[in-house]
Amino acid sequence: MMPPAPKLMSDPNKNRWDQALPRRGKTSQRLVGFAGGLMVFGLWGLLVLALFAILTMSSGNIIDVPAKIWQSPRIGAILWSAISQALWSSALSLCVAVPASVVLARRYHWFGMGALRMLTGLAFVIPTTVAASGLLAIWGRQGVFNQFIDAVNGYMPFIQIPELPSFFGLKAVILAHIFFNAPLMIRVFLPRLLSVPDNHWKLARMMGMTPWQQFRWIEWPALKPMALPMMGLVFLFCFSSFALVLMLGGGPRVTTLEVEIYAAIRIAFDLDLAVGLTLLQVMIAFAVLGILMLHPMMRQSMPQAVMPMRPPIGFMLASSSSVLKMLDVLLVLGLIILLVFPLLALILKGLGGDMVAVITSAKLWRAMVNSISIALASAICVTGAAMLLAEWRVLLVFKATKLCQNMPYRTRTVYDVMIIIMESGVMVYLILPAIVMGTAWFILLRGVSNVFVIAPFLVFMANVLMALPVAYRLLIGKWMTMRLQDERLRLAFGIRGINGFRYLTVPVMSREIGLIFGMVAAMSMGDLGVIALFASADFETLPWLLFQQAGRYRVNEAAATALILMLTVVMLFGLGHGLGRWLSLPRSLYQASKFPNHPPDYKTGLPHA
Amino acid sequence: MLEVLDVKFSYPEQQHQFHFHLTVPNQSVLVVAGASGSGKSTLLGLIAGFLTPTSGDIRWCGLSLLGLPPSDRPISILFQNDNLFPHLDVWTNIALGLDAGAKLSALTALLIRECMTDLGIGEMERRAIGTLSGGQQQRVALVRALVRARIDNQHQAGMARPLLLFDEPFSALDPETKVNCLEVVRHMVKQYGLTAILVTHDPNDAAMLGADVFSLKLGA
Amino acid sequence: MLSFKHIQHAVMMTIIMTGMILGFLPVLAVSQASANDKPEVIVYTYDSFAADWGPGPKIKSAFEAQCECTLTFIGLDTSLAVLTRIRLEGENTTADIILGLDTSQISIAKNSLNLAPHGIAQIDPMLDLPESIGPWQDEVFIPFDWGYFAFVYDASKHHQVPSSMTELIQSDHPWRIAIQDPRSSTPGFGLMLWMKALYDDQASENWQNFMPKITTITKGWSEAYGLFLDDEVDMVLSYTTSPSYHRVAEDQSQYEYLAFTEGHYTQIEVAAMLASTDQPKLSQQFLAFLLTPEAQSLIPTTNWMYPAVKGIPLPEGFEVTEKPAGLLLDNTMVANKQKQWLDEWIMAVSQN
Repeated sequence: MMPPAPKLMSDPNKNRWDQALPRRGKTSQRLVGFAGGLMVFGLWGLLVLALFAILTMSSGNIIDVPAKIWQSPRIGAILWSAISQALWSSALSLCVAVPASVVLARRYHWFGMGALRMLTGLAFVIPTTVAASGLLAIWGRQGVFNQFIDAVNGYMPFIQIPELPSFFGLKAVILAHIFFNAPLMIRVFLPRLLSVPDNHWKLARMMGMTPWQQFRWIEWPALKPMALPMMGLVFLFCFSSFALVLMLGGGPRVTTLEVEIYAAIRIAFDLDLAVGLTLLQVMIAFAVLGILMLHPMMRQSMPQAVMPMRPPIGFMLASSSSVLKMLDVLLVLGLIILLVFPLLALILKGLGGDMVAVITSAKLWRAMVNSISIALASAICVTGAAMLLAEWRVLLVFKATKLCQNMPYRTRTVYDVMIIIMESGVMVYLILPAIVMGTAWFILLRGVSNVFVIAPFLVFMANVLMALPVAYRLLIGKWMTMRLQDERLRLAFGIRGINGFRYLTVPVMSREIGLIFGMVAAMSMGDLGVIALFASADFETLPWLLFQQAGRYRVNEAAATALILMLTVVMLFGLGHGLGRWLSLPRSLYQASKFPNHPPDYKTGLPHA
Repeated sequence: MLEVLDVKFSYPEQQHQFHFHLTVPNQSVLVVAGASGSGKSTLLGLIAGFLTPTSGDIRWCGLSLLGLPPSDRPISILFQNDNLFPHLDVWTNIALGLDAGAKLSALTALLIRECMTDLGIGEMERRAIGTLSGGQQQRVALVRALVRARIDNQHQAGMARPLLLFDEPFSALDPETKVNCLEVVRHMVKQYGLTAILVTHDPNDAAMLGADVFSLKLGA
Repeated sequence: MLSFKHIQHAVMMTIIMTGMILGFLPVLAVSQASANDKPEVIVYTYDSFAADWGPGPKIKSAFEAQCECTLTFIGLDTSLAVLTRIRLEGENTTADIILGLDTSQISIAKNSLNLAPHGIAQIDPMLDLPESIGPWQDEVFIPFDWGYFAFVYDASKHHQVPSSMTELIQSDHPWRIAIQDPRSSTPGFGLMLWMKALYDDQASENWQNFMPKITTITKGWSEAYGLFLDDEVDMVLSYTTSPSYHRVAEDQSQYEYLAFTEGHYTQIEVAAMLASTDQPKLSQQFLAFLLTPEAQSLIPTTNWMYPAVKGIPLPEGFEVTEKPAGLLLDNTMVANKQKQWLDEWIMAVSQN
């Protein structure tokens, strides 16, 4: 016999969870919305102001600008150089990353693999100047390989192995790009390989697949969905590459649009040309980014480095033949030569360099202080901003889905438009050249004060705006999923606002928060973008100091500075990692501080009044 | 017939040792029942060759199976999920079970079609796995196991594998489909003279199959 | 209903937002605000001039001893970058003096910057510059040192070397040479003018023939020279006086320069004063100071160029061979044609 239904059940709408959304608790939502809106307004505003500044500085005739570009005889060569270099780099990175991921997954338990995996995460945040010096130390005229060849030629004069050709040029740029981007791809590919269901490996063993068949039927299909999107992303990075091309390109033959823009502003002071090239760069990058974002895989967070790496079970190994082992050893060696040797060379060179002279130089410490303070400020700002934007994005989705049931389609479109404005406002800074932004704001601000006051601020702003899209994309995937799952729980327990953030959001997202903090700090520490425009002996950052010293009279000092820069970057990255771990420590919902002397009532579990 | 003789095994991180001793006569189904953690999957893993016993022997028709990799043992194993490769179609999934390069002779193809029709999924050769229901997916896997069991040298190079190992393959299905599938298993075993070991946590399965039950308590 | 909790939340959000906006405060604290009683003269110059091992510090102490002021050298990276930087900074630029351009940029600088006359009368009698340039008549720029461009190499490694530019370009030997970009560096610009002076209309063709031997084109002199010292390249475009540095300061005599029979292009480095300076008297005083024996005697051993003024003794080992023949193109022609020549250069160089 069913008991009589309580009065609450009589109203069929009473139970809908969204109807139960209380009037209170909206304040924090409103604050988030307000702050987020302000931020997006600021982002768009800065963009518009910058464009305006550049246009006023140049001849101001916007129609002339595209014409000037097309008439320039070099534009074809520039585009060809930029696109072909990016294509080669992305394709070769893919060719390196796929076998590397398979080997790293297959031989997960080999000695040193854990360190190799960690290095793949590190390669992305190593400053470009540091990496370029390291690559030169391996592949350059006086590098390890050439010295080895010389030695062989010396001992065995009948075999004359030719020396490596000169390092500068297209090959160097491509190699450097592979150095930076293959690890990024590996970070995305490896978790995918490791999340293939265990049973599939067992089936492979049951079916007696050879290593090649296993690659064909299981491993490559696991990687294929992400292969093209990642290649597209790497293409975008390589197409917009600046510092590497500047350092290793060897001259005007190898160039990208960003380098040309830098040349136009810094060298020729031809702002018309700079504007035109910027427009071209933005258009192409926008097109590529748009195509990328259409792909379903990329609409989630980018890249999915947040997936934990599970060790594979032993059945992944298709064959214990020694041929396979040797092949794997060769692959691992190749990977080590590509990734580890440059870093090792740097460390050795740096230790052998003028470490004492460098450490005692006041210039270094000034540059270090500048760099670290900008890096930390950027990291704090970007982390906070990214979290705010992610939360606001989620709230927008809530509002849109809640309303779409009751409101006409028109109102929902408003929210969709808001979401588009917000996301594009953030992402647009990914494709805008930092140099252009830096110059534009400088032009805006130079009436206010002189360059020495403005320059640090500009470097900070540039770092923040360039890092914000990446940080936001890294957060939003998991943030959205988590909030969507959590919302009913929060409503049921009345957890709102800052409480929800502190106790529910932060522990779940702690790892990602730590990751973006560390990443932004490291990227900002090693960045050589806007500083290239505004550096002077009074305001230097560490990468600029290194760029100056690299290849100069003070070769030994450069090596030592590179080592210090690398250590600082690693330290900052580790700081972020530690922050993530600290945030994930369990915290009690029971506010012991409020009731210091009264333990909770053990019957009801509630604190005493 | 399958003999598991005094097989002892323990997982590397754990101290608990499993001890198995059983015999499965030909052309019959053995239902292995027990609570979670009692070692049902471990037993299948040992028979299939994924795990290596620390002592004891496993014999099929008098020949020891130890030392043989899973692809050389006369077994086919069906799991609870992830039996099929979701990015390949039905035909390729079945074909891979026979030849790891998915190259089949015409006779084999005929056999496969026959088995598919027998099990009621005849028209689904080129379907994507994602479009099939749970029961249909398990039936595809059953077809694969069945063809592996019936194949001989005139079809395709390779031996027949008449020993079927089922690791709770129907636990996730709704009761009606589950009964259907069990019926199919019983039919297959009877018609083609196969041997099967079915692991399940549901004690009623044995009754449905009319089979003997081997109960595993924690450890033995 | 506004309760305490709401206020708490609002305050917290405000703090977070303010914190983020003001996050750059430590950044501002970093930029130096020098509060000084003495007036300050700021000189924008290229990096190696202002560096610790360059002329900057010594000139600074010498000048400050007599001027009751502070002299600050701001070292930007390359010589031509100085010009662009001042243009970028516009009217509010802190620069009082621009130092480090050479004579080929005089017209360009006058056209793009607002420069003031140096006010020093009768410079020419005290100057000791190559005869080819004639009397010094410029009222805005003063010269402070000069030199010849040359390719520097290690004589202990290479014994058979070309003796003319043509020979170098057409040589079969796979030389590896580092040069500088003429758009950012005065030596690079000088090489371009040198080729123009030697080959006129055939300059592009010669550049194309030259390119296989050019290993890299760097932004500035420092990068290229560093590569040379690191042994990444066999030769570097530098000055005839670079081997002097090695001989005198480091006691290494293996470095020499390729002496070309056709002659070497001359570079005369100049300085001038900006019209927007807030210290016109002191700036003029500094320019005059640059021409005094006190300042000029510092040049050979810090900037490793020939001093512009007569009667300055050179250290031993500075000059071991005769001065080469000097080449110099007319200033106005350079100013008119430089854009076209640069475009030609880029096209010739990007051909492969």
